[in-house]
Amino acid sequence: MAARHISVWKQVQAVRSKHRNTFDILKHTHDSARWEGVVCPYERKYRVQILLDITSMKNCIEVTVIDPKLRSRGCKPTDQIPHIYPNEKQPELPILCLFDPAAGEWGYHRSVAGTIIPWTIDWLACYEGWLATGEWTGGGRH
Amino acid sequence: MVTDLRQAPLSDPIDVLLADIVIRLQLSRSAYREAVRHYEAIQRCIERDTSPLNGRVSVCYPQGSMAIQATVASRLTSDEHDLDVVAELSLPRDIDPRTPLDLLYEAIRGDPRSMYRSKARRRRRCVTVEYSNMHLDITPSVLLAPEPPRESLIFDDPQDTLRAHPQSIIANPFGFARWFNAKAHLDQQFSDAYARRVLAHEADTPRQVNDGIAVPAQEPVEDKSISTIILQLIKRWRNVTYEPRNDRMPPSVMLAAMVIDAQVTETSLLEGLIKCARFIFDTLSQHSRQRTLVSVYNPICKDDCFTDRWPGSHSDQEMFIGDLNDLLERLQMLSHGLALDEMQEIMVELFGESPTKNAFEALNRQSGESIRGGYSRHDPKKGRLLIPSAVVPGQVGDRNSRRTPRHTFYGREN
Repeated sequence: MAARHISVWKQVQAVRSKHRNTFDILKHTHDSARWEGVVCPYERKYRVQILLDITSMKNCIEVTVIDPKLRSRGCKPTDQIPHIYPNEKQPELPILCLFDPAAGEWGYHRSVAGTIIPWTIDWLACYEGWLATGEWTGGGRH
Repeated sequence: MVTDLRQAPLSDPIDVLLADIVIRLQLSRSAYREAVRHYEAIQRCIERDTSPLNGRVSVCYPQGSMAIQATVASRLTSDEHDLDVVAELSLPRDIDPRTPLDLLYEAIRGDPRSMYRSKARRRRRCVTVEYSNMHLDITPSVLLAPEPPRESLIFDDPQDTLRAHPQSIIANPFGFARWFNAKAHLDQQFSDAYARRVLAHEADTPRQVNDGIAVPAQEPVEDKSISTIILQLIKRWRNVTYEPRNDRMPPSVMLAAMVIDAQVTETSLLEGLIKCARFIFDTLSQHSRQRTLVSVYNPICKDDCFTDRWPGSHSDQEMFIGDLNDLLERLQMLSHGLALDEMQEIMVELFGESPTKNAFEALNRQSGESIRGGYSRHDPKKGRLLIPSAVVPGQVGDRNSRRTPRHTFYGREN
């Protein structure tokens, strides 16, 4: 039996409960929500936005880093930021690839507060490590 | 029940990185054992029957950085360490100052087949014996009085009598080391956290740190104070700063005394480092304003001047004040929430490339392993990753943390 979806309202409540100090809800409707918050993998703080849209048949959850903007390490192809999707609406704000969709690691039945936000922290930790050393140590699937 | 709500020591990324840099700079535990074996062998050599010092060696003991656990690699591009040992000799107090140095040099060189023959060099105040990864400076001394402990004469032979003459100098390195170790603020939680990082480094890089004599796996790491680690960072920064110059460096023993005088009680390495750098800067600046040169004496031996060879002039002092100002600016930048690559750039400038990059790579590797393995942890209240090796069950950082569910990054990877 497929796991039940968590309603947007419950997702909003859960983020408010677990990440009260760091995340605010910007807007939410019956089937979508947008949060903005601050995460800090090491010392640098990042302002991120999370968009949840359950109208889509796909598992639509998008995380973008608003400030500071993500940087590449240089001009070579290998210097480009790993594990991002292009953002067609706002190309300067790529979408973070936080989970493997083919493996069913995330769906509307999973908590944004308990997965997406800590995964964003993990992603940014790997990103900073990659900026410093050139090595993305967090693994991943192509 | 009293709950300790302060931040667990060595849990901030900057502090973890600073500690890890020191761990990579200091004499490893196995190399320390090797150094002890070397100086014990030298002691046997200079006591041998045919030695000119036979029957005259009272005791040999480590002094300086080795006696206060503040060793730092002396070169920027290698792990070589300069270590200091005192050879206390039964000789007359009014002996010609050149004689103890000559006798020690001959005693160490031994017969023509001696292994030390090509390794020993007579220097101004000591005899240096060179090994592949370290050199030992053995300073001859003559005991003046047992109280205060081991007040002694050491001998200065400039070997350039046009400028200065040989002389005997009152010194008490044994007493100073004992004073330093007693005064250095020891916070047990901090010391335990540092010991865990030492063990993690030894487990991570057994080949590099076990070049000397193997340390038994269960042997505990000796307690270490935050003051000592701060002193190591300041000495390393000084070495890096003076590497391209021909000028004499501010002496380590002066810096050691000032670090204690700064009275560090913080458990944050960065905060403690800023406090000490500020204290040294303020002390020297005060002398600069009064047009005097700083003078620092051994706190338990009023005749033992730590600043007898530096600063030689006001320009020496001004140069170091400017260096300290740069250090403070960079340390302040570090405290302003930078990304890892930005922190790395500053720390490479301060402490050199090799230990700094190695520490950053280790942190990146540990974080990546915890994420891949599905055991990374985060603090939801702060939106922060917990450094895997810094989380201790039951401590504050652990109680606030949550395990992050396993996940797999997707998409293009370089």
